[in-house]
Amino acid sequence: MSRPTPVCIIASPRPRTGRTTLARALTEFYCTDAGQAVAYDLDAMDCTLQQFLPDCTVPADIGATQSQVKLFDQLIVADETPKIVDVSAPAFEAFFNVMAEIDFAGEARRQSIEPVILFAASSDPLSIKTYTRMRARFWSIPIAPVYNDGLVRGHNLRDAFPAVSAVGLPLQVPALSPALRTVIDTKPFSLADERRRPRISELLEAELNSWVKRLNLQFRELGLRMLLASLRGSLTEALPDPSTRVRPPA
Amino acid sequence: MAKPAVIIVGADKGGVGKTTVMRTLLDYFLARKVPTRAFDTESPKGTLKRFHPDVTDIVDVTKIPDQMQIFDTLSDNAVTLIDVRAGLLSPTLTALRNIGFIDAAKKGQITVSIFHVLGPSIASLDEIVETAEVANDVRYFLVKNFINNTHFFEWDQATYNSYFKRIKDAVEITIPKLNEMACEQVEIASVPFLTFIANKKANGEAATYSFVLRGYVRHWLGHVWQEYDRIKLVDIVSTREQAQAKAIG
Repeated sequence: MSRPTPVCIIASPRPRTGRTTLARALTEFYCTDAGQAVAYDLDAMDCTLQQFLPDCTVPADIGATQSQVKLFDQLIVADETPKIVDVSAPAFEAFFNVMAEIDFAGEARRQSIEPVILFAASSDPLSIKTYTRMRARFWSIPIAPVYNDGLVRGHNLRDAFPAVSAVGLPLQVPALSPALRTVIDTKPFSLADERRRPRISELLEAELNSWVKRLNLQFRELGLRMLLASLRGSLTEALPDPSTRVRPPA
Repeated sequence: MAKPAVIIVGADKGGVGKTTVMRTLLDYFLARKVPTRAFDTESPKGTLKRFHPDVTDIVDVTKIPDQMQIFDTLSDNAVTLIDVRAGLLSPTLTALRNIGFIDAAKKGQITVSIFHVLGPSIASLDEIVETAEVANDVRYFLVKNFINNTHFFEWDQATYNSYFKRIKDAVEITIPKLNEMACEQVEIASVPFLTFIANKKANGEAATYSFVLRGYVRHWLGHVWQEYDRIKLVDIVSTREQAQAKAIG
């Protein structure tokens, strides 16, 4: 049995929610853990993700049909290569409209693709409303809220962004010190590979390692939950209906 | 089906998407396992035959032998779809009246439906007047086809309504717009919409059509069929007994 192909869609209807930092961390996690990953950067203005990870990031666009074909026809390929999509705030509506219209969720189920939406939560009303709407619209795809401690400290987002499935449990992005924040936002900088970043102080190095470790642990748990859900789904399909099972005589 | 059912798709103007509407109807009936045959009156070429070669015959509806081929072979078991060439809707309806076909529909011996595909111009509204005389005796559907990005810009709603009301029991159908690239790819593939969605070639082999474009076609066709469900198209071509049985079941 081939492994399902994870497709992680990181999105937020608002800018500056830590979405691209999360996309960087997740892409680098998969590059290390699975040996390969492809990230799609839907930020046409800045292409931040592509600037940090040029070797494994593909710039993408959702405006023209040709670009939609280029993006989604890749996302639906079950090649076991993890795919990460960084959906910028301006592309948010268009991306999910196309996704719904072409029934990406339905085809993903048929193709052994495991999509998950990582929704970067923030306390503004638009994000809260959008999260609720997304849960209804993409009911068959796990949606995991992402609480970024560095941005929403002091706000209790658990009530506004509740977890609704066993797969889509919340992710918690630990806060970074302002110094480390500045360092990791200066290109080039690799979160996982020491050789692809400038030398930093031991203190910052320790903070960074701890931050990455805590995130990677959550990514690994998310991957396991997705795998478990996929196995459970295939077992349910393979096993006969209990009501029709022949029972041994008493 | 206890009596033959005929659906005529036409317009007096070209390029309004008659054949596209015809193709959606063929897919609709074939998906519901309703035996269907089609006649393409774009003799000698025939666009419809390119998409549905197995069920389509090319005829010249102005010639008596071809009229005999269509109307003398009407079957109780199959829906007959006729794609009337641009400019021939009114003459065809007049010919049908002359051979007593419309009278037969009036008496309930056959079921005749007209899908009149409208273009964006006022000339399209004038076509309604021309066909109104015949149309009052058959089921009449006015099809607003947005597939080729038509904007019904010349129409004032009050003007349109005044034309629309000339035909008793006329029903309006709206065909939504299909993404241009998806539309183009189905044209290039030369297969029915359903075959394109299923990612198959005309010979049944697996194809490599874009997932996105297939998705667009699936979504669009779903909306078109919703319109056909709304007007209870299957009931129109089935007997009252079958419709009742379906309602009970």
